[in-house]
This record gives sequence, C-alpha cells and structure tokens, in this order.
Amino acid sequence: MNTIEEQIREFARALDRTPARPVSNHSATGWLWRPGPRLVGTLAAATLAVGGVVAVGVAMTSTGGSPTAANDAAPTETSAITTPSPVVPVAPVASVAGIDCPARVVPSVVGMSESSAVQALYGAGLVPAVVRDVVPDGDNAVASQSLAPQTSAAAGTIVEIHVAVGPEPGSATTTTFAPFVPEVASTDPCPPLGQVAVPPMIGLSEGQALLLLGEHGLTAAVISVVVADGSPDIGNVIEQTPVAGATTPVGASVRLVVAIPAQDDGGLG
Amino acid sequence: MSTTAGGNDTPISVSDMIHASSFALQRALVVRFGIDVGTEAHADAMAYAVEHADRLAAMGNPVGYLYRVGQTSAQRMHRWRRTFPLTAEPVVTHGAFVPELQPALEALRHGHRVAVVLVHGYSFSYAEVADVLGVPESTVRNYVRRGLVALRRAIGEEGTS
Repeated sequence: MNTIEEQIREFARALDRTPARPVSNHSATGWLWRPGPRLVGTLAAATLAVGGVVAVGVAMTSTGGSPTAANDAAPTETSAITTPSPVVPVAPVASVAGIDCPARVVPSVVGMSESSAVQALYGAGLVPAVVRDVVPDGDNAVASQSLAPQTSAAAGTIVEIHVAVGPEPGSATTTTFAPFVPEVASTDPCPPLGQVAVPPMIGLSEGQALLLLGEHGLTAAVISVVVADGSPDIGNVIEQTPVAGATTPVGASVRLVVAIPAQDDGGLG
Repeated sequence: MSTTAGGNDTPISVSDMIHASSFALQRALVVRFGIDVGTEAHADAMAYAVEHADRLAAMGNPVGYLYRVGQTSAQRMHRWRRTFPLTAEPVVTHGAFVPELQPALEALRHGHRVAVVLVHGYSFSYAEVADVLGVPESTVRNYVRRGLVALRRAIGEEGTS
C-alpha cells in the first residue's frame, strides 16, 4: 500500500481534476459577490498589474471566440470526475512548430520549492519536468536543473528539475512527471514571457473549460448566473474575462460565467 | 511594498506576490471549504484584491489576508453549514488509493487538513503554507504532524511510519 503521503498527493491530483459546481445563491443577482464601484475602474489596470488573477472584475461586457474542440474529460451531473489520465504539467503554449519564437532565458530555480520552480519555468516560457529524488535529508527544494541558469533555450524546451524529498517508507527512489503538450494551440504562438493566451471557452461545459484552463496553466473563478429553464446554455460558459486570445500571466485566474437553471441548488440541498 | 521571491534578490511588487500566491490561495480555500465553495471563495478573494490593491500593498502578509477574505466570504455564504465536503462525490483516482482517506481528511481540523494537503499533496513549503494560513511556520509543522497522525490512525496505517 502506498504511504499516506503518496495517497495525499494522489488525492490532491484527483482534486485538481474535479470541476467546481455552481453554488446556490451565487448568481447574477449576486449577494455574495458584490463588486464595489471602484472595481470596474480598476479592472483594466489590475489586469495588467496583478494579471489575470484579478480578472474577476465585472467588465465582462464582450466575449470573443467560439467553442473549440478541447481535451475533454467532460464531467457529467452524476460523475464529476472521469479523467483517467495522470495529472501532468502542461506547457502554457509557448511555441508552435514552424514558428520561430524568441529564445527564452532559463531562470535559476535551485533552492526553490517545487511549486515555485514550476511556476517560474512556466513563466519563462519553458516546460518543467519534475523528478522527485528521495534523499535522507530532503528538504522539498529543487536540488538541480538540467539547463544552466541564464542560458538561452527555445520556447517550450523541457527543463528537468530534481526535487530532493525526504524518505518515505516503502516509496520508490524517484517519481517522474512527464511534461505534457496541450492539444489546443493558442492563437498567439509566441506570447510574451510569462504570458499565455486565454483559450476560447464560450459554449464549453464548465468542466471542459476548467480542464482547458488547467492545460494552459491558468486557473478559474467561476460565477454562476441563473437563466431561464430550458435554455440551451445551461451548464455552459456564457461569458469569460479576459476574452479569448488575450494574453495573461501564467497561473492567472480567468473569470467564467456559467449558466445554471433557476431551481438549481448547487447540490447543497 | 516589495519583497523577494524564491531566494532571488529581485524585488517583486505586492501584485506579483498575490499573483504568484494565487495558486496556493486557491488550493488552500478549496481544501478548507471543498471544491465548490472554495473555488468561489477564491474568486471573491481575488475580486477583493482588485478592489483593495492599495490596502493590500500596505499589509505585511497580503496573501494571508486574502485567505481570510475568502474564509469570511464562504462562511457568510454558508453560515448555516457546519461541514464542507471536499467534493460532492468521492474523488476517483487511477492509482492505488485508500477510499477512507477522503472522509478522514474531511474529519481533520481545518488547519490540519489545509496544511497536510498543501505540504504533502501540492509540495508547498512550510513557509508558503504559513503565509497563506497566517500562522507561524512551527504551527504549520505541528498541523502537518498531527494531521498525518490522525490520518494514519483513521486509515489504519499506524505501523507504516
């Protein structure tokens, strides 16, 4: 049997694959989410300054894009988690074959925690491949990286990082997470450093949109709006901020507006 | 306000720091309140970050403050609730997985659960978790240790550690 730590890690990956469902009373009438008057005015600046993390503003006036074929482990009402594939890091679409992107500078990630190193590499337009080495005095920090810091590398280059983790009874000596190249290409093959293009998600189911965002290195802030019963939009994304094609920092949050029926209680009884 | 990140000397702004910590903040709120409520609590916290960026810039630990903003939002939204299941249905995994783990996690104290999952599930450092929870690093270590003990007890793995 796996150790408790391995099981927690496995559970965390499964949790990441689980799409959030609409919560009751969190609707367009919005007594929960009440943006103040300053929010509208600060949205544009905040989007630049804080990045897409703060793109949960109210400026969802226009949306672009259309539904695309996405990597789909689409959840259903009865089974929210259906993805059988292992969770692996996803390249934030830094390059597309045949198009020359500017060379990236490899950041120094030695000494960082695994999560910080992964974000730093994604932010530099590179793809991390994490190898966890079990050592007696492992401190969960990156011990080495395959490409030397400050060297140039093509966008999307895989950088292997070795993380020294403490010993766990019965665990393997190394655990490797292979990099993953998303099937859905960005509209911008060479986004600026640390930036990714927001994929079009209008018309996708909430689960599909969340998976798609995850594959682009983005996170989601889901807002539910009540629509008329029988609407074809129920369960789907009807608005997104930033709009499709806009660039936003890796790891930023994209605001999704999902239509729910009037009687939906979000599963909360 | 500026600080340094990842051991580098490059100063970063509070905006960058909030951006960099969004991942941890979201996971913490999801583990605290479950995937549904936690996700929306995170959205509320980020909305607050937009609206009060200048106020956050003056704080010593803006990420910890945003965690409390999300916490307040979730509790205001569901003040009648005492428990927040992590997921509406048990998660499905492809690996060896003890089904008792999820209820055991949900039975942990909130702080213990967040600390255990962030440290062992997402490989965040104690310091990062301490920032999010707004507690000392030593407290996070205690949370993790006690949480693991409780989990081992719950799933009958006492003899493996």
